Amino acid sequence: MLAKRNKLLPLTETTFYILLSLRQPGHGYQIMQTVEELSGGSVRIAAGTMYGALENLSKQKLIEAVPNDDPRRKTYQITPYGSEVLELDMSRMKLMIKAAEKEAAES
Amino acid sequence: MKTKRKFRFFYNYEREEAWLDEMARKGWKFIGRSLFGLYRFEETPPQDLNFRIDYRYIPGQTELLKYLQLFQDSGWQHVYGDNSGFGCDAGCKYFVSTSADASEDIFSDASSKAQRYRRQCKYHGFVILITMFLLSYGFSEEFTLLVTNPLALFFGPAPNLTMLTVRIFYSLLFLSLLVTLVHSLYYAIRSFLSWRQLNKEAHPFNQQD
Repeated sequence: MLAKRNKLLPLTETTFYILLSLRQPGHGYQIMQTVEELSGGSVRIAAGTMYGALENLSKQKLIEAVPNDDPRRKTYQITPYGSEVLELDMSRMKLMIKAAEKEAAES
Repeated sequence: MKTKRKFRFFYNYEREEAWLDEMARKGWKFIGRSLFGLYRFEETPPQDLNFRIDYRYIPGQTELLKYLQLFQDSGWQHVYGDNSGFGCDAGCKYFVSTSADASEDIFSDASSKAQRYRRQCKYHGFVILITMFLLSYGFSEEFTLLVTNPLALFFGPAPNLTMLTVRIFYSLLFLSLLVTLVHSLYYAIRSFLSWRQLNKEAHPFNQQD
């Protein structure tokens, strides 16, 4: 039985980390800092990549703009659909790690 | 402040960025562009600067300011940009790195670098459609002349001065559209190829061999 997988999966590293950071509202630069912190410095998203990613994720309805006090910056937050997709990708990755550990234990 | 102008056409962002860095090392800091391929520089002591270029159209002034703010927050100063779609610099936004902590490039993955070429390709595709439409519906006479007797476009006989002026105006318009079309065709093909190349680098496991 093949479960019909969400066509947005697997998420790219950039997308995954942005969705993860946007569980709390934030604007572009805040997201950049959060992603760097969450990934322990191994993933750094640059401004041009970030702007394009935020546009795409908005179009795909995974994130949405939220009102804020700062007129110079656009604040985003993850949508319920975005949370759902994030959960699906996390399950997918947990399954992969489990499979790898199982394979290592058996060999 | 001494300034200099240089005339250049680039079809590759890496080369353009490298050239701007090189000019800064020679003591000329990039300050902006004019129409039709002119780059303007001001004299400064030689510096090691990092220039990067984004290609994008931002709808509206408020959005544009938020876009620029994101770059400023992450250590990139906006030197010059066009958001109108006219001229050789159409859509290009020039940034220079202002802090040692700033990233090496404004793009951190091959996929977004590829998208930059895709946007450029789409824009030129649009220009090609518009120019082809205008040329085919308004300038069939000029096309015939170009092929049979091109000098007649400007130097052919005319019944009076008004008609001559009108004819010269139309011929100039015709030639500009033709040049724009050829130029955009070249750009569209180059950026399409660059997009494809970078896309392959971004998705190395997606090839159907």
